[in-house]
Formats: sequence, C-alpha cells, structure tokens
Amino acid sequence: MKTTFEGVLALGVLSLVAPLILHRRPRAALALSSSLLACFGAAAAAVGFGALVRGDVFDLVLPPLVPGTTLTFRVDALSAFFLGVIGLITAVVSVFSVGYLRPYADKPGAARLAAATAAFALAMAVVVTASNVLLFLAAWELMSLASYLLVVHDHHAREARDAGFVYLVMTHVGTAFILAALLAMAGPGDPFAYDTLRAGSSRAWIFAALLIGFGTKAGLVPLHVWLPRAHPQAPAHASALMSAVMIKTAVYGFIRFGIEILGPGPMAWGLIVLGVGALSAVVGILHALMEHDLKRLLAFSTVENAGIIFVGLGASMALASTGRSEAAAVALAAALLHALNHAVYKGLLFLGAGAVHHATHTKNMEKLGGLIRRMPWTAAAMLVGCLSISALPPFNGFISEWLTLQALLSGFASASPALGVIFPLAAMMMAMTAGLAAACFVKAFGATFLARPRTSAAAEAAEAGRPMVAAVVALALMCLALGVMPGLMMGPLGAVTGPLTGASVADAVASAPIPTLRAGYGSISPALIGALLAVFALTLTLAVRPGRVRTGPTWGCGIDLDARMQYSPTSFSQPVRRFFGFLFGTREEVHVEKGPGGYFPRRVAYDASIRYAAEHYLYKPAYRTLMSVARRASAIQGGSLHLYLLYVLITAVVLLLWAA
Amino acid sequence: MTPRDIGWAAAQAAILILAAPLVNGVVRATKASLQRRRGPGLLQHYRDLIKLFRKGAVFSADASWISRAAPLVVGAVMALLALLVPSVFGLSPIGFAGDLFAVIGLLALARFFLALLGLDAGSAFGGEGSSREMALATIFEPALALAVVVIALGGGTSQIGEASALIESGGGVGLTAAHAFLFCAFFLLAIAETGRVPVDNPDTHLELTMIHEGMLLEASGPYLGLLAWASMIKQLLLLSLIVALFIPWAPVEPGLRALGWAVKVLFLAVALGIAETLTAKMRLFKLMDYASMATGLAALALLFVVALR
Repeated sequence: MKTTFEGVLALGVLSLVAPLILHRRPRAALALSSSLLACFGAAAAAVGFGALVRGDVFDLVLPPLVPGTTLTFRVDALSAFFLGVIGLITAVVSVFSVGYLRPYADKPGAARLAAATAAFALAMAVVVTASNVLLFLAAWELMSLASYLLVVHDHHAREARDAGFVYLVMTHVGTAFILAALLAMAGPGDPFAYDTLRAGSSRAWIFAALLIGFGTKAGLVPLHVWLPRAHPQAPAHASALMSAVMIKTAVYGFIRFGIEILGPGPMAWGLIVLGVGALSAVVGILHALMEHDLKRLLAFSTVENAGIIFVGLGASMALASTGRSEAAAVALAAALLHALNHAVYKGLLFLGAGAVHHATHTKNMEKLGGLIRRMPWTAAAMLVGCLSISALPPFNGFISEWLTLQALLSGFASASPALGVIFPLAAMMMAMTAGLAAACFVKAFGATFLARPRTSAAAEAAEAGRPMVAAVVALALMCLALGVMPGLMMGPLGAVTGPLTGASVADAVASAPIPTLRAGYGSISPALIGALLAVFALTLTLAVRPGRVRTGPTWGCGIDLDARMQYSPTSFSQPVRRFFGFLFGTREEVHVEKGPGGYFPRRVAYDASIRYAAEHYLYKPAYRTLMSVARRASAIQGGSLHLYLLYVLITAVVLLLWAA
Repeated sequence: MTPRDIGWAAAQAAILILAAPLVNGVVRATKASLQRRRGPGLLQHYRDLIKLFRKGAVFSADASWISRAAPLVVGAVMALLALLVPSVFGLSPIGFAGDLFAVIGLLALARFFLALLGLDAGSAFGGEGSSREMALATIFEPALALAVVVIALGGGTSQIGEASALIESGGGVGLTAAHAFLFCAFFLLAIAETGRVPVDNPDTHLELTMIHEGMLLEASGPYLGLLAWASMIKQLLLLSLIVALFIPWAPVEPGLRALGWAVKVLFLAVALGIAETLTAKMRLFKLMDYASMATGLAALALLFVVALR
C-alpha cells in the first residue's frame, strides 16, 4: 500500500511534468496528461478506499526538496476516505477530458491547461495526506493557484479575469485565517507536525478562524461569493474537479483540525456550524433556482450541498458535546457520505454541462432545449444526476439526506431543550432545501433537454464523443449503486467515525435477510425499494399497452406552437421568485411595446432582477469602506523621494526606540 | 416476514388500489350533494378508467421517452407506497423498508416525473402546471417534514407501522394537544398534496386552477388512465396515513379492522368534500399563508412535545 501511494505521487508529478515537456505538441500533451491523470486517479482511489476497507494506517517520509523541510505523509482512515474520493473523481474527469479537451488543443495555452489540471489534482491529494503543517499549507496554496490558472484559462474574457481575481482574493483571505489558526496551535517540539499540534488557550478564536478559513474554501454563506463566479468560468473538467473535490478538501481540513486536533468543544460551536450550514443550504439553493446559466446554477447548488455537509458536521459536534457519541457518529457518517455522494453527482452534472457546452457552445439554458433527442446518453445520465441531487429514492442523494435527518432526530433525546427545538427545525430546513433542489433540477433538466430547441445551436447539437459519454454514464451508474447499496460505504465510514467520535456506524447496516440501513429513529431498505420500483415499473410497462399509438402536434389552442411558447427557465422559477420575494428583493418589470391602435402588443420584454444579499449588505459596504480608507491613507504619498526617505528615517528611529 | 405476511400485504395493497376510485367518487358525491346536484354517481371513476384503458394513445411530436416513462414511474411509486403504508388491515410487513421520510421521498419522486412530463411536450399549460406544482412543493414539503418529524419524535420511531401501533396503545403523541395540532396540520397538507380546493381544483381544466391537471394535459389513453388512477391512489394513501397515525383504534380481527378502516376513510372523504365546498380556491401566491398555517401548527405541536418531554 505504501509503495502504491508512492506510485500515486509519482504519477501525479509525471502528469504535471509531461505536458510542460511536450508543450510544443499540444494535442499529445493533453492526451498524455489526461491518460496519466486517469491512472493517478485510479491508483489514488485504490489506495484510499483500499486502505479504508482494510483498516491500514501508514506513514510515508520522502526526502525533502528544500533542506530543512520535511515531506511527511500519513494515510489514516480520514485521509484514506478523502483520498479515495479525490482519486475516483479525478479518474472519471480525466477520462472525460480526453474527449472534452480536444478543441482546446488548437488554442494557445493547452500545455498550461494540462499542467494546471495535474497540479490541481496532485495538490489536492497531498492536502488530504500531509501530516506536516508546512506541507499542508504548501499543497493548499498550490491547489488554489492551480485552480486560479484553470479559472482564468480563457483570459481574454473579462468575466473570467474578474472571477479569477475575486477567487484569488477570497481564497487567500481564507488561507490567512487557516494559517493564523494553525500557527496558534503550534505545540512544543516540532511546531509543524500534526502529532504535536495542540490548542492551548484561546480555543474559541482558533475555532472561529478555522471555520472562516475552511468555510471560505467550502463556500459557506456569506463567504461563498467567489463560487458562483469562479466555477462557471473554468473549463468543465476543472469545474467538476473544483466543485466535486476541492470543496471536500475544505471539509477534510475542518474535520482534521477543527474536530480531531482542536478537540471537543462546547455545544455552541456545533450549533454555530449547524446554523451556518443550514443558512448556506437554503440560500444556495434559492439562488440556484434564480439562475439561467447552467453552470452558475450548479455552482450555487454546490453552496447548498456544502451547507448540508456542515449541518451534519455541526450536528455531530453538538451531539458529541452532550455525550451522545453514537448519534454523533451517525451525523458524522451522514456528512461524509454526503461528501462522497455530492462528489459523484456534482461531478456528473458538471461533466454533463460540459458535454452540453461542447455540443452547443452555450451554457445559457434560455438558448437550449430538445437535447434529449440529440444527446440521449448525456440526457439519461444527467437525469440520474438531477434525481440524485434532489434527494430522491432510489439514488444516493436520498440516502445521505435520510441519514442527516435521522441524525438530527437523534438530538431530541438528549437532555438539552435547545437541541430538542433546534434540531427538528434544522430537519425542516433540510426538507425545504430538498424541495427547492427538486424544483431547481426539474427546471435545469427540463429547460436544457426537453421540449423544442430554442436556438439553432441546440437544434444541431450532436451527442458527445465516447470518452465523455462513458464518463458521465459511469458516474450515473455509481449514483445508482451508492443509492441502492449504501451498506458498501457504511463499514468503511465506521472506520472513520470510530476514532473521531468513539462509536462505530458499521452496525447500522443489517445484511440479512434484506439489506437494511438502520439509524436514529428509523430504518429503510433502499435495495428493496429499488427492486420493487423496478419490478412494478417493468410490470406496468408490459401491462399498459395502448392499442393504437399516434403522433400529433402539441395542443396550443389552435395556434402553431414555436419554441418561445414553452416555459423558459426564468418563467419556471417565477412562482418561487414571488413566494420568496421578501428574501430576494425581487424587482420585476414588464415592458410592452404596443402596435397600431394601441391594442396588439408588438414586443413584450420581461426583466427580473434579484439582490444578492451577501454582496449587497456585506461585501459592497466593506469594499466601499476599504476604498475610502485607502484613498485617505494615500495622502501620505507625496511623490517626493525626500518625503519617503524621511518616512524611512522616522520608522527606523521609532523601531529602535521601541526595541530598546 | 413469512409468505403469509406478504400475502396479506399484497391483499391490502390490492384492496387499496381498487378502492381508490370509489373513495374519490365519495368525495365527488359529497360535493354534488352539498351543491344540490345529482352528480355522476359513485362508480363513475371506474367507468372513466375502463374507457381510458381501452383507448389508443397520442403522443406529441415534440415529446420524448419521458412521456412514456413518467406515467409508468408514477404508477410504480404508488404501487410501492400501497405496500408500505398500513391501510386496510393495519399491516405493514415490509414497513422496515420505508419509513415516513421514505414515503415523502417517494411522493417527491412521483412529483419530479410528473413535472418532467408537463415540460416534455413543450406546451405552455404543461410548463405552467409543472412550475406551480414544484413551487408549491417547496412550501408544503417543509410543513409535511416538520409534521412527520414531530410524530417521529413523539413516538421514538419514524416507521409508520410502529408509530401507529404506539399511538393505538396510548403511547407516543396519542391523544394530546400535540396530536390535535398535528391532525389539523396533516389534514391541511392532505388537501394540498391531493390538489383539492383551496390549493388546486381537480374538477376543471381552467388555466386559473390548472396545476395537477396542467401536467397531465398531453397524456392520453392508458397513460392518462394510469396517471388519474395514481392520483386517486395517492389521495387514499394520504387518508390511510391520517387514519393510521391519528385514528388508529380498531378491533384486532382482520375483517372488522378492514371495516373500521373503510368507515374512517369514508368519514375523512366526506370531510374532504365538505372542506372543498366550504372554501374557495386561493390565489396562488396566497398559498404561502396556507403553508405557513400548516407549518405553524406543526411547530406548535413540536413545542408541546418538547415541553412535555
């Protein structure tokens, strides 16, 4: 296992270096890099899930690149789980990119794209396996910079550059908080090894810094503003990696440093994390419903799912602080399972969106439609993804949603009345996000794939190439497998939750006579549900046979229907926009241009705008304050060299006096 | 779980599926009687279904395989729910496979496919129905989930059969103030989920009230029959759920128990008809208030359960 892990790292470095060597042959560079990265991913998944299933824990020490630093890795259950997730998604995304990146080979910067992708994947693998703070931070920074390069790859577009800038600023603000927290936790002996980290005094500040730092990377509200800007700009394979996997490294960091190393804290910490998670979940999905750009919708949905993961983490922390270690284990397992499930279906959705973009050159759902006939396999896989993300049985999203709900129910039996009221209300908010997600993804799937194509680009789309179809279909099958057989993961997750909470969830799964998942207050058998649904659907297919099947035009009250008369994504979400208008500050305007006589409208325009609360109330005022302070402070810039020399002299004198 | 149990469960599901049109007929007969009309008769739904299943189907040229698959998925979901929910004989031998949250999830699955069916043919009415149905689900599902959560917390279990048995034996939330609030909340939500006035009008195809009917507009022949039957089964399932959770007291012997169930369901069906006649359809955007009322009742029940723990 150790040698395989060394091989994983070697493959990662190789897939980073190969395109740089081959930068004069972009086609070969991209193909070779994708293949190497696929091998890297498969090997990482094998190491990760293999070590998790077998219960292996191992250390690896590599000779230092820079004298004085150490390259120490440790793969324990938590690292192995996240390494497996990273490897799995990287492998599938690399297979996808074999087909997807072909048009990129003809444009400049292909080698840079391949190298940045490889660096990104390698850095993420190192982040979750490092056992040294310096290595962790170096890999974290490399991850952020590599993903920045991917976001601004199309640097001729203004939006890409702006998105990259916002992303760079936000991620470094987060990294600053993480750095501060990790330095504050430095212990005696080697200040940077994980083993010697401990939190002394000021644990509350460290917890807050870790939450803010990792929350920025995970995309928790109100630190999420970079996510809907950055994720859509990157090429689809990079968006998939960012949304599906990079968010999980932040979850890993929070669990490792905030829960394991920082240790148990008061119940208030868990409730704060729970509250932030629930807020992110609701705000994320509400904004997703308002979007008509497919990738921006998926990015906001990532904010929602990050919120759900942190709801599970917060519930686990709160339950652990009241001594309910078994319920805490269930909550933690729910959060981790949701992390895996989200990686699989969000990867699927972003790759599918990439295939659609590849075929139609647009991400705007208002210009799509009817793709289910042109791209049947992509559509079928996307349907599975939409069903999974809406937490519908028998797919995997339902399982992790169910586990989270059961974990929240378990909080009721504890003595604290606060938990007794807050947890059920959190469960209600989870149900609300599931309902909103279903609405959002009916809209996304319906507008993109169903009915008539709205533009010629959509009408002439062709099915994606074999690598792309294979990748999305593989992920769709994984969604179904994880949904119908959750017991596959519960044992390995027990190995993770055991050391962290003191209780195992492996006994939550009963295998005989029918595989059942038991947690909290209830039990379900997804295998039986899936089997019965399949049997009944098949029976009905055979039994319900119409005598004569005819084809006719859609009923339009006698008018010839065209593509403008079907519901667009904006119109689909209008009732929700009205229902939740008090949150959005919705402004709707209808402009009617009337024809002769003032009777028959010649042109109708509908304008809807919403106010993004975090940007309006937090970031814009903060930015204005910062700029006004900076403008006033720039008064010291006299422009005269003598003035600046005087400043240097004064500063030196003050410092010498202070040091004395 | 013996073959005998499976036999009883299958019989229970079959009776529920076959009785669903009759219960809908009772609701319609109640409304007709209150509106001083003769009405079409109790068995009219059976005649309509037989007629539909004999017809051929017409599909839109713009529709895809979703139009053929959605009715089948909805039918399969309703058949599975008929097996899960303890209804006629109060049995749920495969109750371990699905608890109350699984029931909500399965109903959501059926709704997802119905909404896709509405969008598939690209008609404006279908899109309208889908859009409104999904929007109403976003405000009613939290209320339903909160009510289910309170029932689960009160009884210590989220399995339907066990919660029902617990309430029948006097434990759980049985016969407390919380129970009364939850019953009101559930009744309001049953009206919402079955698409009855004031949420939606199941009797017309007018644009103003076309939520559920809008999504079915392009369905025809046996597929329309399947969808119509599925919505009637859903209504009877929700009524059976109310019976199981709120008025479960019945004799043990199966025949008498079935009779008790029939009486309670008919009572609830008449109550539905009366509620429909006494209210008018609410404006779509006022339904937020309706959902808030249901949520508020469930939240009150939660406070009672927490306070009296």
